[in-house]
Amino acid sequence: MVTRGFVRSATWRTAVALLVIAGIVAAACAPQSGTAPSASAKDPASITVLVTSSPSATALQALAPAFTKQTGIAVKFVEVPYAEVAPKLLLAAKANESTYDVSQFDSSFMAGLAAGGALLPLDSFLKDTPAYDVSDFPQKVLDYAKFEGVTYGLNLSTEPYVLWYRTDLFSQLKLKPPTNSAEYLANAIALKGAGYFGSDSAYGPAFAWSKWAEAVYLRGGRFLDPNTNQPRLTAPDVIESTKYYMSLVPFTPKSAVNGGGNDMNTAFIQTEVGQEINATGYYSIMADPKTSKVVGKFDAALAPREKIGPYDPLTLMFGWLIGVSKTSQYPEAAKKFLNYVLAKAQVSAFVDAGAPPPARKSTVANPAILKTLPYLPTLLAASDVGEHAPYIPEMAQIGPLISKHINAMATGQETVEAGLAAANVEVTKVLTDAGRIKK
Amino acid sequence: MIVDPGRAARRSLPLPSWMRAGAASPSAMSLLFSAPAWLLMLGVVALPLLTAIFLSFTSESLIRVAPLQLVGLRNYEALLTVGFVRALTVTMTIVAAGLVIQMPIGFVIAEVLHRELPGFRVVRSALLVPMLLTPVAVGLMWRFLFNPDLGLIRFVLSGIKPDLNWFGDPILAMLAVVLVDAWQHIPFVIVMMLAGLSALPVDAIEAASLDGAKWWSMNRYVIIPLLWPVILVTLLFRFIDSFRVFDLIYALTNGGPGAATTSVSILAYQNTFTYFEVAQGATIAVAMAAAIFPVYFAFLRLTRI
Repeated sequence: MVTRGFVRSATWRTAVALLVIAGIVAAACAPQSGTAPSASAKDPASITVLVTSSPSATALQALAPAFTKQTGIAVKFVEVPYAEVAPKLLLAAKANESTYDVSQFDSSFMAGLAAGGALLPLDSFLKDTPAYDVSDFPQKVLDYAKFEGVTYGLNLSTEPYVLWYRTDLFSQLKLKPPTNSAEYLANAIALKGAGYFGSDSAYGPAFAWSKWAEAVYLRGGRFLDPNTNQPRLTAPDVIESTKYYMSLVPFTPKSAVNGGGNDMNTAFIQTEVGQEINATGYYSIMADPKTSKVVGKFDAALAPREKIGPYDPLTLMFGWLIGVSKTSQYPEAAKKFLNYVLAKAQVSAFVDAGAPPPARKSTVANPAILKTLPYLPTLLAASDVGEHAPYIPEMAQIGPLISKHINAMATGQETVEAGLAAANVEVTKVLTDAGRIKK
Repeated sequence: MIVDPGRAARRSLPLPSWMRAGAASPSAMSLLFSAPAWLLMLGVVALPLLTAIFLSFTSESLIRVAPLQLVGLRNYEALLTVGFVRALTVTMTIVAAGLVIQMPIGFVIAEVLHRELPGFRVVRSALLVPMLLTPVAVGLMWRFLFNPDLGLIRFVLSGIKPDLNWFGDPILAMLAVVLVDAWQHIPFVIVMMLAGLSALPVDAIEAASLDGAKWWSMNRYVIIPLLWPVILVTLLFRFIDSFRVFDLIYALTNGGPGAATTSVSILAYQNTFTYFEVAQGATIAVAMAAAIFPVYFAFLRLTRI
């Protein structure tokens, strides 16, 4: 009777309520698990690898069990959509949380990730890891993974832009792989006349900039001055290259006009597209009989180049890089994982898992790899005349800004001159606000 | 000014003893036991909102490791650009066009279903399916259907109008967004109107019918005035939802062609997660919230809730 009276008392009920609230507040304010400690532990039970859906990610996941067997370190993969990789890494860095130990990222995000403090420098790894054999890489491929002279990523796949063309359609129409833009256009006209798509490129509002930039670079132009980062979108060579790029719209499948590289690739493997300039990384999809209608009917060649602008005509290089998160609790274990999966001896395993390998010089000397990836000699040749897009953090904003105007030009909303002028103003503002250039 | 006929009835409902006039004020116990709910609201709603407001006065960026700096109203001044004004215009176009299409069609379908014609249950269930799908799935599905080279709509319309590039023309892209949004959310309007129609007093409708009122007169002078509070609530919900629309546009057009379908939500997303300029994204989000509040208060004033 005394107990029931006590339970009913206001004092007891107040105490219980206060305890509940205190518990909730304490749980909310408790330190997060995984916050980066001051010292990293050796050989943890597991590491976390951030990946995005790609043949390279599939290969990493295929190789992980053998790594675990050898080292006892389990590998947990977190797969996110492409657009979420960079935000997740930057947010983890900002919050000083060690959510990921290793991360796959697109090379175009490297500058932003490095500037945002999300990546660990890896030059010491390159020096101290004989199994990686840094001498097996062309210098341009090594430079491609550096930001401001420091290596922040390792090549997971090297994907220069090359010319992909339909051997059956070219044979039928007696065409040859073009060596300059006039020949490319002539091929496009011939293909269209025969009822095929004469070209294929992306003009969509999100990713058009890289395909347009390729057209500029192949003709000896640059949209930013390589030495001063001053925008050159209204330079005569850039205007001319843009007009040429827009002249290919009528020959292009509409789904590619609205989309990006993936839409381009879908059009190439599903419809009758005669030629396109796209990344080598799409080879595995083109050669997959489950998804492609052009298996055995295409080949690669160097993209047509000519000097119209003041710079060397080059092809653009993109691709996946893989790095160690700066806030990782286990950087040594993360480097062990990289050492294992990217060792020179693992290239064949990578290829067997369906992934394009990094552009190692030794791959073309391997007959088995050449048989699986016949485009490798073209890839290496393209890497020799390749260049990465400007590695400045502001490219995260500049690329989409330019893409919007490219898309507006391709859909008739802006003229080339007006679109490039507007883009030049916007890019100048971005770089000025960032302090990258002076007003 | 709309007077709520049920207001007096609701006010006369019996109250718990501790809330009755003359009784002691709500005890601390009631407040303490409801505290977890308030704390959740604080954590999920108030804290992010306050954080966003704070960030909108800073220069925070994910690609710069510089210390946080307060910049006053600079971010809000930057809103007064062509980009934001255009995004606001796009958003209001989507809202207005959406309401004009969704409300009348939803109302008419609800009226038909209310008549309980044979098979109405099957039709009602089928009509509600789009509302159950996630906007991203809807956007992707319609993106494939609208594909100008391989999509089903291209083949259906090829006899009437070949070579329509839905996502290559700014007007067609906007039309696609409005139509897909209507396809998904008309069922919500149907549900709300159906519930309202079911609660209408039968005698008023019968009396009007006996007086010889035809369909248009019946709706104009009897049903719609009685249904007005439901219509207003539905309008408010659809206005807020359409104003905030993001995932559908992201999956369907990605804001293109150019910036033709870039709404304010898409612009906020681009600034935060594509450009990594968190402060600018927060500014746009706060401006969005500020733009919606007057609508909410206008609604409160109209219905005197």
